[in-house]
Amino acid sequence: MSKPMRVYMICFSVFALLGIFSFEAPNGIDLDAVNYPAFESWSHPFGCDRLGRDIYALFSFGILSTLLVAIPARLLTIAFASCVSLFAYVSNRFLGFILDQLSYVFLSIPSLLIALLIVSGLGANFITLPLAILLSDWANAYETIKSKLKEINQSSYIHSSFVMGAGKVHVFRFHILPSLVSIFSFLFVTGVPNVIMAIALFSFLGVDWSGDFLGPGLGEQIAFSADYFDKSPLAVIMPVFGIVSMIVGIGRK
Amino acid sequence: MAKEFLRFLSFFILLSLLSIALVRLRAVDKAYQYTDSGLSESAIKELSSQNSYLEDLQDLYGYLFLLKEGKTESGENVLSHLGERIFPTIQISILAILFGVFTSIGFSLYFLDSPRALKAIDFFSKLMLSTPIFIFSLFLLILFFYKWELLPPGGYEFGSFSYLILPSLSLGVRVYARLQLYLSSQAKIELETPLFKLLETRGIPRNIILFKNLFPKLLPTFIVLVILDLGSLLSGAMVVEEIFFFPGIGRSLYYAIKSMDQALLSVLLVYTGSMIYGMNRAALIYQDSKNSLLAGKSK
Repeated sequence: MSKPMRVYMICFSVFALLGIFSFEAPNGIDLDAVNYPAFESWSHPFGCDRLGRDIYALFSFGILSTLLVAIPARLLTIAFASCVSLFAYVSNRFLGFILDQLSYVFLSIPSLLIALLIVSGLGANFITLPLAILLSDWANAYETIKSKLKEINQSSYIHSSFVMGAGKVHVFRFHILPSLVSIFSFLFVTGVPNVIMAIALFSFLGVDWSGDFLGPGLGEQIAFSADYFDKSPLAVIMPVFGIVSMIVGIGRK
Repeated sequence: MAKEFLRFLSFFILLSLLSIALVRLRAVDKAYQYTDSGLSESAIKELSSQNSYLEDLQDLYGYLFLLKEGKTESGENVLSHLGERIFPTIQISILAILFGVFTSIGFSLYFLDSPRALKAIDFFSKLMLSTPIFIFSLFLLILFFYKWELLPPGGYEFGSFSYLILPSLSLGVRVYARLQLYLSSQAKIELETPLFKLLETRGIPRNIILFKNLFPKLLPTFIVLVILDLGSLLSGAMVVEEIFFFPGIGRSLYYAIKSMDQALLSVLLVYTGSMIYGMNRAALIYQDSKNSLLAGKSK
């Protein structure tokens, strides 16, 4: 990450944290503060939306609720894809072929569609949302790990290990897994932005997990306020700023 | 060819198995849809009863191979429903691709000689790729409808171009960004090679170098990216068509999920999955053939 970007991300994180510690979760309605204008008082620095919810609080808690799902979901996806890759690696050719075909099937159905189907079927909560993201996204991670495995598998030290009598599981545990560490961090960094986009989109479509205790997600805030852009533009601009900043910040190495 | 067919066959079987599993997961409790319908409890029970997994699979193959007439929840024939909606989606997909292709070629190659401008364009492309598609759609809607009142907010009318502009732009922006980033980065690398240095020193006009020498070199991968983008447009179409009330395949998919329309959803899943698989394989085969040509191999 470049230095200006690092400074920007530190400022952004401090700004979001300040909102979390200064305000309560915006899950109530305050009719006295409906469409309260921005930059007029310290109690509502960025104004309020048309339900009287503080825009700064909506922004900060929206970021929190997004990250609370995005990070575990991505870690789970990588862990699951690694397990499937290990299984494909140690199993016979036929099973490997079936797993490959299964990953093509998951890749060929739009990931949003798979995730929406799962979330609509099981409901959106802290468990099902990461599960939906895992199932919609594992194939991408599996393909990346598989190609890295192929590359590692052709290296001389792996051949030497096999010649010395090591089994597939042993080679995977002691030679391949350590070499895969770099790809895991790459998959995490490049995958989290997609997960954030997916969560924002779900929230935009009304699929949200944290509405009762952390307030609406960033996407839902945009959907709710878009038609009233003239009255409270910050209610749309702030969540957009939050989504884009998270994606740009986390997605840059 | 036989190997490719077998590969597709195994893919198709797995796709249909997965589609039925996913659709059954969604349509597990349809009873609540009929709560205010005035139907008796036994009628509701009968309507919301589920077939076995194998029966559903059999039905799906029946719909796909025209052995059985599939009906949507609203009683429409599934295939005629799809037939009506495929054309609008094809229209916005083609427009989105054309927008992405021409603007990316124009911006990348025109600004190739001004590094600052190209850097700014690259930055905006990265920003576009970091912005979810629904945000573009909403901002386009706010600008072109609420503010300037230039374009309709949504809907579709056969033969009217104005209804296609906003959905196509929303979809095309990401296509543009991906292609532009590829073109500008590769063009910069290629222009540093001895071949292009030689062409420059021989006084060949810049435009000829760019469009007759450089662009054809980048074309194979560019085409692969375009084909892959065509496949991925469907995912975006679901959101964009919903925002613009556009009666296409994407909106149909979203509607089928919301209304637990088992027949429509399973058929759509298999068709879209097969289409995207076909595009991806075509792109891969095309790229392989180009690579073998470059390596001097022939079949």
